[in-house]
Parts: sequence; structure tokens; C-alpha cells
Amino acid sequence: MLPLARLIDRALGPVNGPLETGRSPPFWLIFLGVVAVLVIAPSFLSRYELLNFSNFLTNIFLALGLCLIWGYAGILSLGQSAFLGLGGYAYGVVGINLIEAHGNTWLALLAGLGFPVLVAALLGWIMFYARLKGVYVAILMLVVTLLIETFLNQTAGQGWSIGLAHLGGNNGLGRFSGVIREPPSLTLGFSADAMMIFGGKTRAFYYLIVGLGVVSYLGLRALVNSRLGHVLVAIREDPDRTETLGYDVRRLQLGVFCLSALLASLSGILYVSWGNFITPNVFGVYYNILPVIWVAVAGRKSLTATVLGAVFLVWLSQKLAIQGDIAFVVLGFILLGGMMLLPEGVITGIGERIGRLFDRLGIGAATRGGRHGG
Amino acid sequence: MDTLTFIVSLLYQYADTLALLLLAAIGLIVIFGMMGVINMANGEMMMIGAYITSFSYYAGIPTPLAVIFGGLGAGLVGIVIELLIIRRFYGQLLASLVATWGLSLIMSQGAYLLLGPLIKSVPTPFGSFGVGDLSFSYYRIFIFAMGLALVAAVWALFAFSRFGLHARATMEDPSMARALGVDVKRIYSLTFGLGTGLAGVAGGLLALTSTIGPFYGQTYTPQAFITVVVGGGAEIVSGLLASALSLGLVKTVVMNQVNILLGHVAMLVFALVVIRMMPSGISDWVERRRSQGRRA
Amino acid sequence: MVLALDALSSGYGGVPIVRDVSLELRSGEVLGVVGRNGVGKTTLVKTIAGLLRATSGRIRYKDRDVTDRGARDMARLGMGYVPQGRGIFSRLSVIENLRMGEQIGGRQASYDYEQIFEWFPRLKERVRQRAGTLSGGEQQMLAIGRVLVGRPDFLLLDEPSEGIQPNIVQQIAEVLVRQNESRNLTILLVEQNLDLVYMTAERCVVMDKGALVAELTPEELVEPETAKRYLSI
Repeated sequence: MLPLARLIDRALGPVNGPLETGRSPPFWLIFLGVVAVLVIAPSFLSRYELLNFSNFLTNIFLALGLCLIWGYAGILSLGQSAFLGLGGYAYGVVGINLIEAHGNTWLALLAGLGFPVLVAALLGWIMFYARLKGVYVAILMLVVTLLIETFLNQTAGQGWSIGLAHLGGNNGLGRFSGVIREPPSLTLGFSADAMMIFGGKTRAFYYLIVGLGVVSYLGLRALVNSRLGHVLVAIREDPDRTETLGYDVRRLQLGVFCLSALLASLSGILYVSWGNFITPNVFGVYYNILPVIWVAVAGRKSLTATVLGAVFLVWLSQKLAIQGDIAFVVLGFILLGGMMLLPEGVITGIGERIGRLFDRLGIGAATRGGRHGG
Repeated sequence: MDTLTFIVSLLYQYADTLALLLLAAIGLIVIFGMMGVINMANGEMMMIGAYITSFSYYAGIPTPLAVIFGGLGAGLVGIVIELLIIRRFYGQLLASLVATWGLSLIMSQGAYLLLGPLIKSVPTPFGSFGVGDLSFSYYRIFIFAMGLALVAAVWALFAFSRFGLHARATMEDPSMARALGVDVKRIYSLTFGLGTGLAGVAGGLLALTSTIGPFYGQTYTPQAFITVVVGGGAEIVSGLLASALSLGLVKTVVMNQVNILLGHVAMLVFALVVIRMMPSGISDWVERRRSQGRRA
Repeated sequence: MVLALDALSSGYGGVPIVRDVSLELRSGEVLGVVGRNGVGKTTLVKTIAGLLRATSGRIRYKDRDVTDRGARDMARLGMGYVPQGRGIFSRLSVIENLRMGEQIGGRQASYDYEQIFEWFPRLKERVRQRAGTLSGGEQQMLAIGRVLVGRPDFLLLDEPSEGIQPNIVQQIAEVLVRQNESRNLTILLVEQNLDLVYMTAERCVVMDKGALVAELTPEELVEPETAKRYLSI
């Protein structure tokens, strides 16, 4: 093995492994290239395009969370967007109440991340410790999110306020509700004069998302390739056998479930920071089926595929939405077709083919002998 | 409000709630009990039933026949779906869930695209009667009776017919049923069609009480799911009844005392409590108890 | 010739269990297949029954090549299969279980349940009871009664006497022998317990490590030397 290749291999150790597609030097080169493009992109995009692109990217965390629990741990949840919504609403409510008093949104951020995780912990405790069947977990989450949607839709009256934040019924939190206060964008910093406001149109917001995205992606890669990741896959394949090997399956399931809720809530907070509004729609069927479509069609067992798939499909939905309501039908066909024809996912399928091509050409073989296997 | 009126209104609400739960869930639980598949497009099957009922009604067909047509239509669609799609997912329950969800999206949004946001609603027959200063609809009592009748019909079908016998054997041990000459694939197709047909009839019956649109069935989905989860798939009829009776009671009492939304919340909380103790539903828990108590 | 196996091999997930088995059963013959635990007897039975696909070789049933046919076809062609563990439907009643045997050999104009109850009076006593509440022996009688309802030509039995008390084994043996004599019922009987084999079979083959290693008469089989050699009893 070449010394340089060995160095790269060592450095990439934690994030490289058999449980995630792409680990050869060419892959990482492409990865660096993509990051570079993302970094310089704002210079080439108009304000509107940047605003739009930032919106696309807020979905990454939701997608990654679902990929983690479904693709790696075998837990399908049809209500992941509920955590997005709870995060957004919690952040928004606390933010509205405290932005003037504190001048920043640190507490709001904490609330936005913490509240959904608490809810996830409670639901997860009930479901996983009862050893609920996978099918039941999936539909129960859908029931929960739809119920939250119904609840929030009828909070239109004046009485439905938490402090200064008016819940706004089906108009939600924000400028549409006719009451002055809208949830603030993330306003973070360490001293009163050095506050950064991450508004939707700003480059700061864009770089925040890109930064968080890269960190999350690499962090999750490290997680799934670690011993914990292997245990998760074992749980996915055969939970009973994994338990007899001494692992506390239920605690691990609860743990990843809460982590996925955390990621979804991050999407929610960024979404509110981006647009300064949130409506009960995010708890509805459409918003919950979207991440399922991204992950199922792109390839649920691969973080990389999920990210790429999510961005592409969101872009596609936007293009289709211009044609009218046909977007939903098309997405439905894509989902059904994907499940029937390419159950492992489109991008995973393509990635595997490329990987085999590289194998045949001998590229990347230097770092793929021995420890990781061929 | 005097006591009599209160009791009558409470019973009426309970009957109405039961009607809704039984009708919304019966198609779903037949399919789930047989194959473990959750048909996420159950609401759309109800929608198909409602649409066919409405179109038939306005084409001059008498209402009862229109509802039956709704059921037949949904049943046929179900058989086609089973042959083309569901078949590929036996043994992969989560995948079938996702696939049928995709189907649900296609059908509801497709209906919206092709037929618009609303179609003509069918008037509620039979009129109303009064007790005290409250008025009640005869039709709602009728659909409660219909709900019970459908459950009884399903029970009779499974208990007395040859199809029912083969179906119950297949539910318990498909491999052994096959080794005895049963066409298991056909049983699955017919059961799926039966389930969607029942949903279609339910959709048709309930259509006479509300407006009809492409997302008509989706309003029943959460309650149908809760009913199936609490009932479990081990014994279709008894599971459905036990589930609907208990959930209906919880919902009616809370709905009566507070409001309908909290009624739904109470149902969910009750369901969560039940599944914490009986994770595979009531019927499965009962089944386990029975099989532990025997063995000579 | 009712059943002919020609160099039959099968297994699970690429692991060969049954290796190159050839045998022939004439009409009206009762053949015992014996061997220790784990030699592949049940795998052989499942392959013949159509529940497991053969990896190589052929199966002929009544002059028809049925190698690629599934269990349902085999039942319809008149093969009655009683698996290890009886395979009764515990949630169905006794009479319902019996009725499940009606497809074997194709649907017929009428079925004689009284005869089944004559052979197994205990079943008549419990006719509406859930089959899961029956004792092991009663369940075995039910399983056998079930496959006889359709008047099959061929019975495939996997360890029918396992865990059953001797007097019931006796009853079952009597029914099998009587059917064999009166209707020329062909029977392939897989057993670890030699009593039933001795009472019913005319010929035995011994299986070891997935292959047939010897052919004996029942008298030879129960000789202590032979039993020890082939069955490590």
C-alpha cells in the first residue's frame, strides 16, 4: 500500500467502513469536490436561487434521520415530520417569547432540539419496550402526527397562545396569523454586539446549513461504521438473536429513535429560521410521506444515497409543482415503482455499479485490501 | 337536559362512534389478519366506494344498490392491486406498507386531478327524530346496524363457508394449508378483494353522511389504524369487536364530556396503554392465554 | 410404480442435505425410512411433498414427472402428507381439520366421515373441540384421519409416532395396515421409532448423512446388532 494511501486510510478510518457506500480515494475526492462547489456556490447564485437552495438543504437532516432508523436499525416511522414540526414550533414559540428579552435564540434552539427528543423518548419507551411489531410502530407514528396536525389546526382562536406566541390554527406561527409576532431566525452569538442572524436569504444561513450538513453526514458515517453501527444492523436483521448476544436492543432502538428525532427537529428549526413561519401542514400526510419517498427511492441503507436522493427529489418536486398538482401523483408513482423495481434504491444501485466498475479498473484497490475486504 | 335525553344521546353517540370504527376498520383488519399487510390505501378504497355510490345514485340507481356497486368496485380494484403489487411483498411487511402508501398517494391525488376537489354528495335518507330537545338521525342508527351486520356477515363467511375454512387454515399455517391442496395465492387475492370491498361498502355507507372528495377516506385512517392495532390480527372478528367497543367507549365518554378532538386523543392514549401491555393487540393476547391453558 | 426418486438431492441455502437418493415404491407397498436424528429424513420428505425444491435429480409420481411441482399440486394428485409435529390447525375444530383433507386427490362427490370416527372414536367425542386442546396422541389421530378423508393413493408420514403413547401408535398402525390391505394405499413412513415401522412396513431403507446406505426387512431391522449399527440405539 502506498504511504499516502495509507495515511488517507488512517485519517478516514472512522468514517470509512463496509456499512456505507463509497470509501475509496476517488469517492472522497468527489466528496471534497462537492463540498468545494457548495462553498463557492453563493457567488454564482442569485438571491432567489440561494434562498431556494437553502430551503432544499434544510431537508437533509430529516432524511438522514429516517435513513438511520429505517435503513440501519430497521425501524420504519411514518411520522418523522412530526419531530420536524415539534422542533419548529417549540423553537418558534420560545423564540417569539424571548427574542426581545434575550436578544438571541439560544434557549429557543435548546427548546427546539430538546422538546421533540423528549416526545420521541416517551413514544419510543412505549413502543420499543413493549417490543411492538415494526408495522405497528410505523402506523402509530403516523397516527400521532396526524393527531397533532388536527390539534394545531384548531388553535385559531385568540386563547390559543403560549406567552406571546399565538398558535394561529391552520395559519400557524408567523406572519400569516395576522398577529404581529413571527418566529425569529436563528440569532446566535456570544456577546451582544457580535450576534449573527441566520435569516433565510443570508449567506450565513446557507453556510450554517452546509456546515451542519457536512458535520452530520460525517458524524453519522462514523456512527454507522462503528461497532454501534454494526449492532444496529444486527438488530435490523434479527433483533432476538442480537439480544441473546447480550445487547440491550430496546435501549439502542430508543437511542437511535431519539437521534433521528433530533435530526428531524434540526430540519424544523432551520426551516423556521429560513422562512419565519411554520404551519400545521408539516404534521400532515404529505410532509411525512416525502422523507419516506426520498429514502426509499434513493436507497435507505446508504446515507450518501439518501442525501443525494433527497436533494434531487425535492428539486424534482419543485419543478413538477410548477406544472400543477401533478407533482404528487408523479411522486406516488416514483415511490411505488421504486419499491417494486429497485427495492434497494436507485442511487444505491447505481453506486454499486460504479463501485464494481472501479473494482475492475483497479482503482482504489490499494486502500481496500485486508481489513475492509474487497 | 333531563336524564332520559342524556342517556339516549350518550347511547346514540356510542352507536355512532362504533359505526364509524367498525366500518373504517373492517376492511383493514380482514387483510391484516390474513396476511399481516397494512393496506395504507384503505382510505382510498373507501373513497372509491363513496365515488361509485355517488355516481350510481345520480345515474338513477337506488341507493342500496349504489352502495353495493361501490363495494364491488372497490373489491375488484383490490383484486387487481393484489395481483399486480401486493403479491411481490409477502414476507416484507414494511415494504408493503410503503408501497401501498405510494398507491394511496397516486389514487387520492389522481382523483383530485381527474375529478376535482369535490363531487356531488348524496343526501342522507330517513330523516330524524327527536328526544327531549335534541334531534337524532335515523340513518346513523341504520349504519350502526349495518356495521354490526357487516361484522356478522364476515364472521359467518369465515365460520361456515368453505372459503372461510380454507382462509382460517391459511391464516394459521399457510404452508400446511398448501400441503393439503389449498390454493393459498387465490385465498390471499380473494381476501384482499374482500377487505377492499368491505372498505368500499363502508365508504359508500358513510358517504351519505358527509361531503365526498378525494381525501374523503383519509379522515378515517387514524381511527381505523388505532382500531386495528388495539384489536390485533389473531382473531379478526373478536379482535375488531373488542377493540371498537373499548375504543368507542373511551372516545364517546371523553367526546361527550369535553370535545371530539380530546376524544381522539383519549383514544390514542388508551391505545398506547393497551399496546404497552398487549403489544400485538387484544386478540393476540387472548389467543396466547388460550394456547397456554391447554396441552393435555 | 407409485413413487420413483432418481438421484434426488436437495438442501437449504446451498447446503446439501439429501444426497443422490434413488428409490422406488410399488403400488400398495409400505416403505419405512429410518435413520438417526439429523440425517436428512425430514428434508427428503419435504422434497417429495413439494415443500422444498430439489437441487438435482427427478421425482416421478404415478408416471408423471413432478420434480418441479409444488405441495398443492402433490396434494391434488392424491398425496396425503402428515408432517413432523402433526401440522394440525389448533384454532380450527376437529371436524374443521378433517374437512381440510377434502382437497387431497381432488374434490369428490362425498366423503365418509363416519368411517374416520370408527377408526378413531376419540375424535368423534371431541368433534367440535378446538384441535389445539387435544392431547398429542389425539392430534396425531386427527392428522392421519385428515389425510385419509380424501381417499388418497399415497401417504407420506414424517415421524408419526413421535411422543405418542404406545396404545395410540397401535391404533394408528392398525388403521394404516387395514387401508393398505383394502385400498392398496401406498405408504412412505419416516421414523426414528422402530415399533411402528415393524408393525406396518414390508421393506425398510436406512438413511445416513443424506444418502441411503442399506435396505432391510423389518425383522432384520429390529435385530439388536443392526439397530445399533444404523441407528446407534
